[in-house]
Amino acid sequence: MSGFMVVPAMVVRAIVVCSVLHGPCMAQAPAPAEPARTIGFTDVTAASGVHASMTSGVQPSSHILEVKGGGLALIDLDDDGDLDLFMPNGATLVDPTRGPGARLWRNDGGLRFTDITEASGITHRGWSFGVAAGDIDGDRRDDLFIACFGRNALWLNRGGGRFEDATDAWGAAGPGGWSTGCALADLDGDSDLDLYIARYLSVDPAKPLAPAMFKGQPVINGPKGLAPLGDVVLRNDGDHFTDVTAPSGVGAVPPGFGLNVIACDVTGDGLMDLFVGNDSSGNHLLVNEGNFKFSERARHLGCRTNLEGIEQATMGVALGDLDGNGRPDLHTTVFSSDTNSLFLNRADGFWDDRTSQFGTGAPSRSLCGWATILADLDHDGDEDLFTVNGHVYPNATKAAFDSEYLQPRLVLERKGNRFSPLRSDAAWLSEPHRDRTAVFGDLDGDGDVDAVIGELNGPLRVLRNDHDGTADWLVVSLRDTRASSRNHRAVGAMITIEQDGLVQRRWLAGGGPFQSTFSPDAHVGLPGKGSVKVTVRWPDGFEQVAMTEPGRRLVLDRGAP
Amino acid sequence: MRAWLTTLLAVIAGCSDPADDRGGVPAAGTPNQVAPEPSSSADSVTDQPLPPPGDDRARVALQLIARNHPEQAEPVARALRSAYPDQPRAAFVLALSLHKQKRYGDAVPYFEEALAGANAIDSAQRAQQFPEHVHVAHFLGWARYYTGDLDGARGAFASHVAAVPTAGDSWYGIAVVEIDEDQIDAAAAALERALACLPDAERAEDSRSRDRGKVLARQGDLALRADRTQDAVDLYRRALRAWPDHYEVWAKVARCYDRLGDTTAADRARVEELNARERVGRILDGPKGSTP
Repeated sequence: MSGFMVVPAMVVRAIVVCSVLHGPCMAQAPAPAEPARTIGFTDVTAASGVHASMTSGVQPSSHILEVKGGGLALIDLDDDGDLDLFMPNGATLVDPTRGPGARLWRNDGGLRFTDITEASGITHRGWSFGVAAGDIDGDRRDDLFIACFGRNALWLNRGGGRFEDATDAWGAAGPGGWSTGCALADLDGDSDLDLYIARYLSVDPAKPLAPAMFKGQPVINGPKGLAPLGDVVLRNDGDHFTDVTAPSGVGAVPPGFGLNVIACDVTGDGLMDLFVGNDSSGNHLLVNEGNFKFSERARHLGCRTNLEGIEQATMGVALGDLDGNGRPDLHTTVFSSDTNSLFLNRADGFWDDRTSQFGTGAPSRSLCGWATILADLDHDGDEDLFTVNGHVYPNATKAAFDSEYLQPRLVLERKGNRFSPLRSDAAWLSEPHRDRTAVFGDLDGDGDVDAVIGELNGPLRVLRNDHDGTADWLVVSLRDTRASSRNHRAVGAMITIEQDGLVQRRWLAGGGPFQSTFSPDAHVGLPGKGSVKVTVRWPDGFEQVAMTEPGRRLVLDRGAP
Repeated sequence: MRAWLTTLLAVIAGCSDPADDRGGVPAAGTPNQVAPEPSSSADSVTDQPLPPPGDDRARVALQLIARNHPEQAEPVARALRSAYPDQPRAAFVLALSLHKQKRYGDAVPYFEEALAGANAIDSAQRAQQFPEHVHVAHFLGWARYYTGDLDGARGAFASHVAAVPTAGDSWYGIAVVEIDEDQIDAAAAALERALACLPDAERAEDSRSRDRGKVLARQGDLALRADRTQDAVDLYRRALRAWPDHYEVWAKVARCYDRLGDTTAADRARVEELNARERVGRILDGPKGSTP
């Protein structure tokens, strides 16, 4: 194994977590005798075939439009079970509508990819930010929606690796302005995928903005002082989208500087809710009231601000069940000189800022965080945190801002009821970059979570998870092949995995770590030895139970008898 | 001399608003009013001329800091530092000017230098040459805290309370670190020590009431952490009686009332939060502000 080793985790951690945090839902289990578990990655970009730079203006950035970077998508474009890669890519201030163009790579296995952009027919060149992948037209092929500065784009997957621009046919161009994160999810329970688009602010790329001041230094202007844009929600009507921003109630929500959105049933009522991470303004929690109506409840439920009542500059959002209560909790990344926040989703519906309890704050204080994910990187039965970082101000230094422009990644390893920073000089972790986006998933089919990270005006980097290859994992893919369903990857499903008394939960959510997509598959580490019970709550509430063994890729079909 | 020093440091500390830091944790508070001198017996190690306590540049820099113009104080402090490169007081004044600009990472090495230098001065001379020396560890604690160095912050605060057992704000600093470490019992104990350093009065007009309000608010946080929501409300209310402008606590009270199902009280608390923000010039204007 290449890569590196870090401090071994306690093999009994799962049991500790079980007894300390998970309460009565968790049965005690004997401590399995296992080798030490480690977290380690190797940068395999050079051999991966992924050779591309993520354009977003020029270096050094001088305008707010240049500093966010674009997203990435994992998409199984050929339904062969492995995850392909898409980068929508940005442009420059000189011509925001014509950048170097989107790129699409086919996963050939073994973390090798082939650039199939040209053959795919995707000619998108607009300045892109967010991206969503999912079956929009119900043909069981995953499509691509791209949120842009200006006109958004929809590319429908026509099979055989070919895509077709269906932006106009579907009414997907949107109102213009600056769209950022986006999420596909069935928001009205009719089994097709609707679309939520976060939007940032109003700005003219042709007009330079006077510098703002931060800690006594001139910096790139915004977002404060610029006009925020309201988010947009589109209802899927089978062969076109209908803008339902106003009737859904979303249009009545005072706009924030929206950067990222995730779609997940956070209230446990079977309806898909939306959490919007807003920059320098309070977050939004749009609770789904049914009949395509949403109410903004973040303020009253406790996730609009951190505990101190501070409206943070939220960028990335991660999702996981940190306290074992069966409800998805949230980790949000924020600007430097602040701390990333960890919100527990309580059984009574309120959200608690428990950043201090879990120890995720202090290690992030000097960092400007972007994409973040909760994933079991070392297969010890709990979820670790991986965050990519980089400042927005090219003149950021430790001396001036307590934060450097180029920043290392932050991996927080879950140890019992706390997270601890992974310390290593290994390049994949310590080398500073201006990272922005990332996608995470088992890209080489070996059962652990790999990553592709996008750097602002820098290369995409493919990181291979160097977990030891033991069969201590499970990857679950869902397929809804019923003729009546158009949500064939079951976005919105909750998966409960039990082994030797350890209960873990995963959600197939819309949106992603930052302007990117979550993996359509669910991954868990399995530290025990026993068989595995998998319970799926499908988006329509139907429950399905399956038994399996560790070290497998389990595909469950809702349509199968 | 002591009265002048106490007043100056109190003003410096008083112009520090917790909301100035995005993390929301209060910055340096009021130092102890009757700080005993530490018992270092080290001899002076410098032959350089010393900036006297009344050095114009030191006085000017400290006054600028006290008047909330630390960015103007910095060049004065740098000039002082250039004139007396080996003198810990010059390093301290520079560190303080950086600290008050929230450039904590930049300030830390100067505080550390000031601390080390102070310990190298004969104790008999130290009070004259560097009258603020006993409080350096306090500021170092907060600077380290804001750079994410919890262990270092705890160590600095601990050394301050070892020298000045009645340094309530350093006990408070220890508590804040322990809360971040999720050491709840240790945090509660440190808050009790902090409270014991303060007068009992919780009325807003009391000169130490703001410090008391900070401590009570953290006790409220611990109650909230333990799901004792009503206890948290009671503590937050006491905190607000002591410091009505502590807008973050109004936000916490609102959070608690929501949880208790009293949305009317929660909304009232939010109005009070906005009022408090307006009073202290920290308006929650969301997207309309002018700087990041």
